[in-house]
Amino acid sequence: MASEGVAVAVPLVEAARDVRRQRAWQAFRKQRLAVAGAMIVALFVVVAVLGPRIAPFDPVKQNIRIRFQAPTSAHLLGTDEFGRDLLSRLLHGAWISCEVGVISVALAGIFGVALGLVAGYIGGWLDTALTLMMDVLYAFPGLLLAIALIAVLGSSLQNVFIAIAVTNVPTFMRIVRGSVLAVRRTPYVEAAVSVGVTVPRLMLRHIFPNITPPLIVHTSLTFAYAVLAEASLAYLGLGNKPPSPSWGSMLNSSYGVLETAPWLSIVPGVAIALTVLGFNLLGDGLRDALDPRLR
Amino acid sequence: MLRLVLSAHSTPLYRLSTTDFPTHTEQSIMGRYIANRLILLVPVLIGVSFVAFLLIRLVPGDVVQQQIGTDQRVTPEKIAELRHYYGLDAPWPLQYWNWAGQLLHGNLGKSFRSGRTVNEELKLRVPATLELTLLAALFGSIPAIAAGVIAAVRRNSILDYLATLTTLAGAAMPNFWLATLLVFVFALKLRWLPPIQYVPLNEGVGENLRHMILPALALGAPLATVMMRQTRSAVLEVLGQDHVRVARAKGLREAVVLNRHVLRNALIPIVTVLGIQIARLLGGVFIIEQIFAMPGIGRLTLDAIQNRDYPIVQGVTLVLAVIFVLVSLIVDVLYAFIDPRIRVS
Repeated sequence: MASEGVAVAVPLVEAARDVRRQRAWQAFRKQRLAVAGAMIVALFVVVAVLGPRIAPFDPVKQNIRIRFQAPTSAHLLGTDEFGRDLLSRLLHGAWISCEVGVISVALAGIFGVALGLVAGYIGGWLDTALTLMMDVLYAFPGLLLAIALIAVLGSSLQNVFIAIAVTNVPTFMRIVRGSVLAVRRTPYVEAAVSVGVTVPRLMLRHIFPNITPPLIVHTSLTFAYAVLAEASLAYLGLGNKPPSPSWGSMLNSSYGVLETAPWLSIVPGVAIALTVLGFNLLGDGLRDALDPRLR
Repeated sequence: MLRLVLSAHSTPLYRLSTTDFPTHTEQSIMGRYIANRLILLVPVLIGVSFVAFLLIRLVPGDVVQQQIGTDQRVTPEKIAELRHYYGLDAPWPLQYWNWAGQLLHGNLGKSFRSGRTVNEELKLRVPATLELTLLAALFGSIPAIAAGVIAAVRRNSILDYLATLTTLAGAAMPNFWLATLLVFVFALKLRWLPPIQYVPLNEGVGENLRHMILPALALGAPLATVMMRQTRSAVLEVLGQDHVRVARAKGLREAVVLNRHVLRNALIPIVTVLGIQIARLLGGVFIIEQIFAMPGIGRLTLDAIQNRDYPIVQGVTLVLAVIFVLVSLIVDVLYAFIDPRIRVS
């Protein structure tokens, strides 16, 4: 009897979810800035994926004879202090930013979601302990924890993934925990419990799909943060090691030649700002579209 | 009668929170709230100290080995002696116990390089960082709050779009790139401000300020974008409330409505966000101090990272995190003090 009730309820829940998705999509399309953000993000992904394949030159190959060359037809964005092609470095740098964004946000998301689901659903002392752990990590302002972690683990791209992920786990955890607390007493969760759904299945199949809207928004905004954080760490010499073409390290090396070769500073700066802007606009647009109160 | 009803309906929140003294009951609720927050602070501070303690133990291999590097002249006996000196030969729980005991006496450890204590190093570097942070908070808050109010009051005007555009651009620009552009434009091209060089406050206030403008602007820019956005949405929210409509219906002048009924209520969330954001500025000092060659704690940390001077990295991390936690606590308590809904809930 109970399983019949669930069998009837499941298509209804899925139909309601489809309607919500359609409404969100319509609301998203109406926002011009959000659509612009989505286009910038799409462009960034295409450039990041294809960049290393379409780059006209080797991004680390030096040619001292053409150093500090202003943009020409051969080198569309000019060359740097070692005569390396700036466009090629920019295209390869896009892949690094994308890699850092995807891996560190995925790591932070996986751990944050898992911890948030467990803390929010199981509650009790486990919730208290996990929340306290996240509060401790949250107590380190800005890049401080990432800088400190890389300082002790050493400068490498892998450690940048870890450092950025660790600093973002608390926010993912808080969002998921709050959402789980909001839905754990709802009829569909109680119905699933009453028909004997196991706890892991309940969390993954019933609770998780219903708490995704705030997560999608946060993922977009965290991606922007990750791109910015990677550039900041690379600027400080704490990221990918030279001569690897990270946008942050490109900006760092351009600082001493601001007056003579300003394009070396402008090009990677615009690339970072545009990427971050794209993800921020997309995140804001998704928030407005997915939250029925803001529609 | 109508006037009485209107007055009653138009009683804004600030009258309950900032101009009336809390009653005896409210004071006891407030006392309990502060006590609760202080109790919750203890495990967080212990956790923060544990993370700072772990940092030095996460160094691959051993912190002493990292210090020595490939120096063949150092004998194994000397290494053992150094490990004993830094207490690294004891079991972890005992190491933490000893280290936390030293912390409670205000001893943050000793620099591997300079031989000075971390406290001495911090004392030398804190003034520059403090001045930079305060100036950045000033540059990042007052003009931004004013712009946010104007954007909200003149919603959908050119000024509003300009403010929104500035906010979007400001949020996307890395502050180290902004710093670079500021130096390029104002120091190298226009020559309005001096190039990168730090002048201590005791060598002349005017000269010091001239050198501090660009770093403070670069550090304060992200704060400004957050404050402008927050102010705009807070003011817009209050503008749409009933008591503002009633105040206008009473025939009050727009300036009075804005000052007395809108701004005072909107300021509650603005002040809260400002407090947290000012504490967050500390996370940005690393890059800005590095770019502008400022002898603050950000640069001290980066130099320490370069030199593998782990006690300094550990000490600065701990001190900044504790400052951040304490500022958050003060902001929470202030928020509860000015908004009775928080302390009652």
